[in-house]
Amino acid sequence: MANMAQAIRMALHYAEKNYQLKDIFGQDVGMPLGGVFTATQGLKTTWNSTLDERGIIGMAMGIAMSGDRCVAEIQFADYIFNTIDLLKIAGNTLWCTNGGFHLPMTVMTPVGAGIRGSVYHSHSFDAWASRLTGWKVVMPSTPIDAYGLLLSCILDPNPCLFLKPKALMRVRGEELIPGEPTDEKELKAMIDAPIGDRTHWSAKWPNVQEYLVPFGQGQVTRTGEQITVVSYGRHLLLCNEVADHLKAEGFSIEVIDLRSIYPYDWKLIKASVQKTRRVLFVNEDTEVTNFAEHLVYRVTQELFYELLARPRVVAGKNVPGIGLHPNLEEASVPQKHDIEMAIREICAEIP
Amino acid sequence: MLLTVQNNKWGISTSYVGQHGENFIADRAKAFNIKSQVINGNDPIETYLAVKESMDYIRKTGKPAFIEAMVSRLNGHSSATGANKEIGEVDPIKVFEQRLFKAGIMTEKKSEQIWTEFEEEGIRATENARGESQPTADSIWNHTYFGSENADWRNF
Repeated sequence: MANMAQAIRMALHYAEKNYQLKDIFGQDVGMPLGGVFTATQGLKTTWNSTLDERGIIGMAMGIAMSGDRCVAEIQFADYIFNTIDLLKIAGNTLWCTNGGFHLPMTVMTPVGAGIRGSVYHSHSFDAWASRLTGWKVVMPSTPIDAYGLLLSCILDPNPCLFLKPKALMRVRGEELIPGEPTDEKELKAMIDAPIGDRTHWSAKWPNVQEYLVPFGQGQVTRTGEQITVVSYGRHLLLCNEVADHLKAEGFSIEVIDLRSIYPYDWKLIKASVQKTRRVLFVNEDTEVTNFAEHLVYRVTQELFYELLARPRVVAGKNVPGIGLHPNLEEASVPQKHDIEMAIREICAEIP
Repeated sequence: MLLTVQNNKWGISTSYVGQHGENFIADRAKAFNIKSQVINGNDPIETYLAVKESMDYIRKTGKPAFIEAMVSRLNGHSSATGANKEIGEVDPIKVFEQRLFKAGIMTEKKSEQIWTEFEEEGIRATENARGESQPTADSIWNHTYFGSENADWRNF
């Protein structure tokens, strides 16, 4: 099975071959490194940009305005903050030009904690991104979803933000990407650059096929009757683990992988909450004006009288950054025991 | 104000040459009519004299100055090459040491003593740091606001 970095690479290769993708760029995105997480190794159209995030986003907007698709990378979401005005303009250009200019651009950026990245390599961007009107925002939790969501982003005529949960870049999935070799060693030999001199190396791409995960379509990863837990990215996997763990005690937990943050799959959330009548939202961005608070708002507006318990959000603490020490990181972003405790509390609540 | 650039010609895996059209970053200062110079940052004497000269100029004129110091890249960037020592780069301390020997300012014995002294200081500092108490979970809220005023909305 491919890991997420390999899945992203294969999606980009597919898009180079089939979607006229001609520019994949950002800091260290091109050879010899092929990205700090190796997600852009061996591709045909990658190039290294200057250390200039505003230049990267500006370049992507220019390429997109001239009608070409492109994928730009901001090396870590921590550094996307100095492009915030350009992200706003990319999001409002279609609207401001009365439909005259659309921007078929994708920006990918690694997000979140979980790798002891400390203050400059741990920030989340999903809540911030949800306020960038005009952008579509996705965050996969598995390699196959990374593949399918990235292809949807590249094909989409709007600016799309592809958030990469950095702690999952080396995590393998349970489902093969269409056309992916079944033997992971074979895949590695084909598309992973060797350590050391890479000047004579080139990737041998498997014949991967089109596979699209549509925007606004979540996925139920665990079915249950007692409570709905909605998450995405790294924390989705933690929610799955907690659901499996609590199953032994008789809990019946439904877990939804939102996958797409904006637009989001309200129908799936609504149907599930109408069934379970209890809901918890989990993500690691900071908790004040967190995107999950919008979802809680909508739950209370549309499903208030069907609820058996107050809907909850488990999110990152409202602190300016994530500290390096494990004690600090673990206290700043939700851990499995935080999710478990919230589930227990909500399920114990009697109206 | 003294503006300084330490140029080791690399950004992680990306080479300076592939990204810069100008010959020197110091040339950019010229666009603002800022006095600028390029120096060998691996040479402590040249660096000292250049910084002194620039600081004297700044103090005298009240205008800014710009120094681009060309330096070695002694170790790799963690996510690219690991933090391994780069091969073929000039180690400025070793070069300077040889220069002091030749000039008769430093003896090998004295040098050895300095290396040992600082090695020991480094070890002591590491042990000290390792011996410090671990940060507590509660401390994540400290210094969000001046005087560690309440940052957690739960306490408002």
